Amino acid sequence: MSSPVIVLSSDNIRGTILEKILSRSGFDVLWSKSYYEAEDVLDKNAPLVLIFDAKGLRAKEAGLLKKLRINLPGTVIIALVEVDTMPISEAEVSPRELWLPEPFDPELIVSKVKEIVSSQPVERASDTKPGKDTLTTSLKQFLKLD
Amino acid sequence: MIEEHEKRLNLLKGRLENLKEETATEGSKDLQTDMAVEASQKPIVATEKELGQEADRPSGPVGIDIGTTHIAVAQNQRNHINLVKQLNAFFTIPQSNFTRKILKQNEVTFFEQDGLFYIIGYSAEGFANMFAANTRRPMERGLLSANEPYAVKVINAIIHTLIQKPKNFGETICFGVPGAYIDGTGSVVYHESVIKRVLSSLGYTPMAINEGLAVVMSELADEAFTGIGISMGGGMCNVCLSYISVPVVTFSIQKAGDYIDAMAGISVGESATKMKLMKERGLDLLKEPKGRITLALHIFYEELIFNLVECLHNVLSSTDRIPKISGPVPVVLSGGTAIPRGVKEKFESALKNVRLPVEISSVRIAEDPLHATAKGALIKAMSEGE
Repeated sequence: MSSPVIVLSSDNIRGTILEKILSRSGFDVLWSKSYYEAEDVLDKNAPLVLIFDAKGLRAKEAGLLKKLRINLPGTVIIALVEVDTMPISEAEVSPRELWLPEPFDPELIVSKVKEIVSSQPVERASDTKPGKDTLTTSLKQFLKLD
Repeated sequence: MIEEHEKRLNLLKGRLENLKEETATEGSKDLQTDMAVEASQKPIVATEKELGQEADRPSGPVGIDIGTTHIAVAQNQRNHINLVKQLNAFFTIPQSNFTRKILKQNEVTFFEQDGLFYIIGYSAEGFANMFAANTRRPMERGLLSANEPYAVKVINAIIHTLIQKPKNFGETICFGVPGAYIDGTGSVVYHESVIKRVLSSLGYTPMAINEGLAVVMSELADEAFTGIGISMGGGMCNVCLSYISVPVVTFSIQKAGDYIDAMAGISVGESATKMKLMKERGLDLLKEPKGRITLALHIFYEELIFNLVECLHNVLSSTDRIPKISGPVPVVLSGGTAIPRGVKEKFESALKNVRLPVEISSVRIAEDPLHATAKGALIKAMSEGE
């Protein structure tokens, strides 16, 4: 199993745990501590799943989630939220979004990622269109690894 | 505008270069991890550094435990973990040409400083006995001693008796460091930085590991490195709650074996050294104490364990860092203070008085309590080194 998952988390422990547990489950994972750091990659290659860790998110940063929804229409966003402190109301949650409230449950997150990935149609090589590649394919092409 | 674009492009290129390297090394990283897990199953063969024995020149990753009483170096061998240790102590005698000649003839390790010979390691013990005095330690309560001006030089010299420069420049060496104190003073940052410098100057790439996590790495491979590792040494107890080898919560208390010896000694009017000797002669915490010395040791052992469990409860209960863990996790106790019979049972009993936010499956003593930290540091060096 190999699917592109991007984790956005400013928390070292949670980011490291997600990176490790998802890698062990066979996913290609890229953990980024900030949106700015991941911006270029996200712009060029929309991941299948984006894990957005909202722990410690300040009100002015809440706009990020809205921005991500607009910029990544084909990506399923898993938002890890502290419902009481999340500066976005639950009513605003998009249908292609999954809110997982605290406590932080890495195994549940992995199972949700697996569900999302397995529910995606299998992409044949001939179906791959230029500019609409998966993150892995694009990166491999860019890096001339194939 | 163009500058901004170029800056962003360079950022992206840099990131993709990193990804390329990661992809290329992915296979070898997996192999490294497999080898590390395999190494964690191997038994430890420990020896004390002998007079005149040449220091090793490692050809692979190294684990090193720089403890208050000993420094131990672990290396992976085909069927076992090879561990060599040296006493982390020194003794000074006045400088003279005659003494220098004698020391050299007898292959005693020493260096000269301010008109004194600094005799280091196990040799120091022999000299201290000869002069009916105590050895001095470059470390105190798990950290570099603030009271010994040449502590760094002594530690540097002791490490040199155990390892030379590595065969491959930049070889990974992982060393144990204490967690932040919850009940004392002292800077872990200074200690860690100084040790890093010492190891770097020898040609290694140093990485630090929390001592509690090292216990987890040594003992909990079968539990996917998830559980609580506790190192109960001479100067301090180090605790780590690890989830898949990520140190989620770490802390230390500056109470351990030395505290038991000192307090029990004060209570019955005996020296701490005598209490230590009594403790090491086979103290059994499961038997009713006979005499006031054993009674004092029992009391302060129980107090230490109670205090440790209480701190564990307070720290774990006050953090929101702990992930949801699907099953109960084990606790592993290691270090010299965990050796006496009954420590496990006393710990289990103390655990019954608190309600931890994680369920505990079992309490056990490390397979080789004295050397688990060095072994764990080696596992870390093998799995995460360059």
